Amino acid sequence: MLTKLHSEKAFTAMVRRNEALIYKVCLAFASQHGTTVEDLKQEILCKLWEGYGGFRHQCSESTWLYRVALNTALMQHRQEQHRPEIRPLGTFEEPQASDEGSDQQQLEALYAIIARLEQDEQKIIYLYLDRLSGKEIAEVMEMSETNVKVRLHRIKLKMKGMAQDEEQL
Amino acid sequence: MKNNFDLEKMQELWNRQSQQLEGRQLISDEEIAAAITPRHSWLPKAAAVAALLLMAGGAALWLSQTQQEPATEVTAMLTPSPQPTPITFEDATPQPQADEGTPIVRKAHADAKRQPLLPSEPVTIEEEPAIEVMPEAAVSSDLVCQNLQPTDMVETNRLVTFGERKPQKAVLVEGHNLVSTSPIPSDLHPFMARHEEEPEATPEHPTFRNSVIEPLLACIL
Repeated sequence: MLTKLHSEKAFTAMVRRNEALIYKVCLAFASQHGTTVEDLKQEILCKLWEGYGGFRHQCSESTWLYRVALNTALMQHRQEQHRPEIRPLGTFEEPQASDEGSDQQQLEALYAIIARLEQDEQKIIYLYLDRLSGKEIAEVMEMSETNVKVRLHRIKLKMKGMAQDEEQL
Repeated sequence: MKNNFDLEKMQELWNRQSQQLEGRQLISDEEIAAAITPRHSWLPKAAAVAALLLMAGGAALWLSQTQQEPATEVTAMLTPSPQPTPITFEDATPQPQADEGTPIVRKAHADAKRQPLLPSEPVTIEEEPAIEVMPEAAVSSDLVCQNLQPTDMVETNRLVTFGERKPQKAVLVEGHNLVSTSPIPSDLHPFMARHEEEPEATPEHPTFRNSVIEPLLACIL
């Protein structure tokens, strides 16, 4: 019983230390996957608690959190893809002309491009945007640093191509 | 975004947004508690254990009932009712069994069998007067059945009298028992007549006449 209480306190403290990290993952993936930030946040917290007993601190806390949060977000995306999207009538609005000055709109355009990437590519580019080093990305992705650099270069080219395609449309 | 895609610029935007999130409580205590609570909930485990116990108890009860059921039923069937309706048995042709020493039980009258028995109506069989067990030795040779018709069935070796004729012993022929070894008029029974007309079996071993004389005669003629 005491062990449980202790682990609950430790878990709560860990979540508090890394709540920005968790929330940013939710912001990035909830908007593009048709789920709410709150739902995704709860799902990630449940998965973190489920895996917390097996966390052996062999990697850093943030690395483990990134892995669980990104995997949960992408898993949620896979489940959402099988469900038909239900939207009330009147919500199908024409996309408004984007204001270039709006950071939020630029970020949403970025999320839309990221959503078209492969799942591993989405994780890598997310970690890159979150200013993780090549070594840290390699640790989270459990691959070599060189592999990360090569893949990151290809992803950047791919995203540029996607952006140009959108411009032509 | 429209003119050129600059990922470095996107990274700047991303970090600016991240900095805005710093210092704010983004995850409430309730959300953390909600994630933790299901893990140490004892209800699912308790429900599973209770279901297992119920299943085990039910299986044990069913097994015990299955073992006790036949005895209970027999007891209920043998319990006499307050006003029994006895079935009367009349003497009919006794049907002794072929096995030696096997008890012979007299059959009930056919009418008694035809009486419709309602399921709710309790029936008690009177054991002593209705059922008579006779040893086969007493029946086989000493009992003489009077005034039997030729079509009646009598077991083998029974002495049979047709009207005022001499008693005859029945033998089994063609599935019917009523055939005598002594001469019987052919008008009595078709099987008897056929039995009498049957030629005597030729001896198995060759005689002098069969083996020598008859072939010679056949050759000459």
